[in-house]
Amino acid sequence: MPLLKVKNYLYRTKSFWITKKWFDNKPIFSFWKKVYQGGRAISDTKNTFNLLLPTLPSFIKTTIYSVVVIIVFESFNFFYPTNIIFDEEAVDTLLAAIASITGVFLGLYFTAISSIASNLLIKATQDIRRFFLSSPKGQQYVQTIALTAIITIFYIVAKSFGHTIHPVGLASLALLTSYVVVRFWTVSSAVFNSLEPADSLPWVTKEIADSIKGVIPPGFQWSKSALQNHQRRLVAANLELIGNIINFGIKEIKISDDQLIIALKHLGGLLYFYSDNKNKIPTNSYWFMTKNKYESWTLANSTQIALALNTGTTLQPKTIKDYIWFEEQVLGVVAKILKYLVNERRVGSVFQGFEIFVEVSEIYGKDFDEQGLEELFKKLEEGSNLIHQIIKFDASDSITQKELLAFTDSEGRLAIAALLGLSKYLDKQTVDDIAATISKINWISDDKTIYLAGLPLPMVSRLESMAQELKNERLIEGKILSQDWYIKTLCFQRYVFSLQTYFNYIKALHQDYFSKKFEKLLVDGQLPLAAQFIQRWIEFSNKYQRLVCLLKKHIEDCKHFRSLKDLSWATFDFPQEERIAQCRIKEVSDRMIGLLPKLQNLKIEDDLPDYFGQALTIGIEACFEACDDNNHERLKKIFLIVFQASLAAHDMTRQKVQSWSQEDSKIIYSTEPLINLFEITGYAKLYAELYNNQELWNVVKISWDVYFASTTNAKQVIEFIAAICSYRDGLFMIMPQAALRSNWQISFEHRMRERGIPVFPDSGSYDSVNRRRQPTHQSPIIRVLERSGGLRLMASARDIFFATYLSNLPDAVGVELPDRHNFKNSIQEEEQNPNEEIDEDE
Amino acid sequence: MKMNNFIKKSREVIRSFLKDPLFLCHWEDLGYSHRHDDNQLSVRLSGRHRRKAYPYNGDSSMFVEDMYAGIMPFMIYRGEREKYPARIEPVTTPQRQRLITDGISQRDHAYFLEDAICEFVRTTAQVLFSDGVVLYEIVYKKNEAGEIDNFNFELLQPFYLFHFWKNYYQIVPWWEAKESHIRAQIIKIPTEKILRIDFPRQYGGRRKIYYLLKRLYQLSRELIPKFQMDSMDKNENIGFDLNEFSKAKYLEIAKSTRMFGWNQRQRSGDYVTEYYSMERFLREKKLEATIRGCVIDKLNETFNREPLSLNVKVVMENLFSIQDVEKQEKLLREGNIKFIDIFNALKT
Repeated sequence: MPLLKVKNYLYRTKSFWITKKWFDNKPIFSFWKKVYQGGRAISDTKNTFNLLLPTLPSFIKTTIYSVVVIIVFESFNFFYPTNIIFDEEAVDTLLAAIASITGVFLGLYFTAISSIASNLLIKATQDIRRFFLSSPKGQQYVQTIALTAIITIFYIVAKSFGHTIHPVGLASLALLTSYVVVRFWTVSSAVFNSLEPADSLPWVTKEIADSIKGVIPPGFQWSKSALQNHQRRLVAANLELIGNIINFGIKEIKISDDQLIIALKHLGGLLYFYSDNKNKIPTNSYWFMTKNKYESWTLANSTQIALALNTGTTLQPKTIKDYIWFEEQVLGVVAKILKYLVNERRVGSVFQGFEIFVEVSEIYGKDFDEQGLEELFKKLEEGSNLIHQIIKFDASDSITQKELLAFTDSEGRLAIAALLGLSKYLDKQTVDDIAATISKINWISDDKTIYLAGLPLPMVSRLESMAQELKNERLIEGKILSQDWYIKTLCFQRYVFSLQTYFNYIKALHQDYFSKKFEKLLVDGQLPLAAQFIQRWIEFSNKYQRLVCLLKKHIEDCKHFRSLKDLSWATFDFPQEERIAQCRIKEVSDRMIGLLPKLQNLKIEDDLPDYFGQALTIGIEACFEACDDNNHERLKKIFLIVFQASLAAHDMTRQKVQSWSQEDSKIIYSTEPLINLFEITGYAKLYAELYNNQELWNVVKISWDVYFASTTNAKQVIEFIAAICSYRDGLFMIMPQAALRSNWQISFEHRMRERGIPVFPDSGSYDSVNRRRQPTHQSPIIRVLERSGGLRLMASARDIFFATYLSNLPDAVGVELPDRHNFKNSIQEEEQNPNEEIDEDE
Repeated sequence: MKMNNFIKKSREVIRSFLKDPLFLCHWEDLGYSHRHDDNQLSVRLSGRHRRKAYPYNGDSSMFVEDMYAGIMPFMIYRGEREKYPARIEPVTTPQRQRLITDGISQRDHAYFLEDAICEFVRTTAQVLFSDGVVLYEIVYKKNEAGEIDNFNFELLQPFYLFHFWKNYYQIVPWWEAKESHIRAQIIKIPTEKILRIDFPRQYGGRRKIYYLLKRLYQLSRELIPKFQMDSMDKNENIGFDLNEFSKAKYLEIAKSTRMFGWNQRQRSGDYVTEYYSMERFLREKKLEATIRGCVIDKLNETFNREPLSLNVKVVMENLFSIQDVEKQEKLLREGNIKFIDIFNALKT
């Protein structure tokens, strides 16, 4: 009779189900329970041994010291022999003494315990009391004393029956007694401190880690529901114990911040360990907590409806797995600790604690564990969100200010780390590697390979269902018919969907995390922190742009495994994603530029970053970008701010360099912001001409018009500009920010080339310079540039500004502005005689 | 008076008993038993008593419905007749074409050849999947010149029909006579008057179909076992696992029907891969093509032998063939395809 037929026959008999239930509940469960308990006992013994090992060096040292002392004493027998006869009763006395010592130390130990318990543990919760009494170090010590006492008593009994004790036994007993005496102080103090996180958490977290190992292959009976359930309950109890120990420590023992940071380190380590192993846990494991979910009658299947109708009950609820219960509980404790530290205004400790989880957030990337990461962000926010409201930067001392800046930096780096987690994964993991891993899975005979494959967490459920379906297929057909391409297609389908979900979460951090936090910092009046935070935001945006490139390549590689064309596939609009990434960089830069008016009034010392200078440099660069992108709207938004900030920067730098000894350095450095401003103004004009978009120029011109209109001494200003430029032109040296301006020049000339205008050293530029080629651009300025072989040979953008705007101001009459190549006249000639004939002779 | 009536009734009973001592004509009712044609030899039986072994319901009924439903296109839809044109070879007169169309058709009114072939094949396939064999009595009328004036195929129940030497014998037992209101009798039908189509041997033949339908019925008798329903009524947990129960049932049916490729109406997509479902779909289509080809071949063979000897054959175009299915099987195994394309390529 075929197996399936037998199975179906049995499934249709009540006695089968009753027997099965009995077997599952009674003999099978009891058997595995006993085996599990045996395993635990072995594990406990190992732990005891592991505890013993580190104590041995100090004990051996003391023993050797004692032996040396004895040798010294006994050497008297050799050098100064005596005739004292060894009394055999001494052995009896020795044994009695050892028994007394062990008894005394056992008593002392429990006296110490009782004393602590009566004073300290009266307010402790039940689980803390239990943990204290079962402190592993204490237990190991008590076991050693008990062993010594029992051996001694046995020896006394044996001797009373006339047995002669071997010297090795006596020597060993002496050693054990010595161990008991030597270890007493260490153990007592360890037990006394056992409720401090540094002492207790290693044990509790080890227990938790052992339980996690128990629910993943090749843990003992890792796939057994009863054991999965047991491990979950153990871990839940241990996590509760950790929470209680922390609470107790804070309230009753008044533990130090260092202890709390140690606790956070242990919890961070636990999260790290768990995230590393989470993808090895079966998705239907009882390790995950369950909750009931009632289904709608309209969505239920026919079997469910039939069952409910026939039994006159409601639809049976579905059990839903809670896949982040562990993270919730661990991070709950973390949030509590952080909240306490925030309330106690221990910013440095908050920073140190927070920093631990910056590292942890990276690991979620390799598993696309969006839920876990979300929980991490949520709980850390919950724990530390009040810090900026409680502690004001301006009202803090210098150390606290730095701690606040460091913490804010960590907040930014938390999101960056999450992004980097994914970037690193995409950098490291090739699609072919994933395909090779899928190929190695043994779908039929070895369930472990699914979990040990190391594929991202959201893929596990697909691997499980695939394995189950292929097993069924084999049962039906006797072999697997589903092709390798199909298996890979389905696995990759889940892979790209889960990758998309995780990527979308990272993408959303721009708005949901950075933008919100930045706004909040500004609302809370934490300007330096906002400036610090936005630096990380800029870093995030740049890294995000790279992530998009990496993802694009990865997803394109994944497409090769899409062999089933009508299977739904995650869709990415990469041109759009690239645009978004680009826009975000600009958006964040603009936000930073928006801070300039406030930052110029910010007084900070040299040991803190120059936020103003950074924002101005980004601002001036952004102005050029806006011109280059032909984006007058953006230019309009930022130019005026950059304009004012550049003037302010000139004043600020002048004051800063006042004490410098070299006069030329003072002038050069203090005028750099102004030169950048003149250059940008010139570029606005040049791009307006090149793109034929006068809006670009208008934006800039209005700012200058307003400036000169509001200045009472415009002539002096123009003379000053002329003077500093002439002075700088007269110096033969590379200016501090010359490289920045050279890049602008190169970019502009690149745009000219794109429009068919030859630029030196292009071959066509010689024809233009030698008037053998007629420029076609409608702008006389661009035509002049073309005839000059480009901007580099003719002038700088600054000269364009002077020639086209500044020199035309009424107050500029009589002021000689630098125009080395007579650019102004060339433009006028070009305007007056646009169709100049080509002079072949020239 | 009462005494007289009793005597009268007793006399009638005795007389009718003496007239028909074996109760052969006892249940005959001419209203029921009259034949479709004067030349028809066989009688129509209900076959109800023989079907008691596996009532035609549950999965067995779904299986049969699914297997024959897609075998031919449904001509009631607009454009189907043009899509799958039928013809008679060699080309013949309209009168002869009408004769053949009417002969194939089971209906009395005028009919298209395409409709007639589709209906005949579909009906035959349904009986093949239900009984494993189809038997028709060829009822015909010849004119004075010995030419066929009209003919039709009368479907026979395979039960109580035996083939012996050169004849078939239809035995009508008393219980069937009572059920069908006909005479209990043995009817001899010459073999040449029978069109017999057997379920293809490569698919297990009649015996396989019989055991399969029986097992399908057994497995689908209960959605949830009664003992479990009783336990639920009593709020008692006996450890019954509905998922395990349904899965075991699904797997056994899938294994039993793997040659036929029946997908159990996709009742659970969780048990097998979609690829494997497509493999089974192609098997189902291959079987359809095989059965269709077999039925049409047998029909053409009957046209060209005694007693009809029409020397024609019917042909229907654009229906997928076994080669078409094999081509799709190859495409499926190679990948880079759309399931929907495979499905559309074999749609009827």
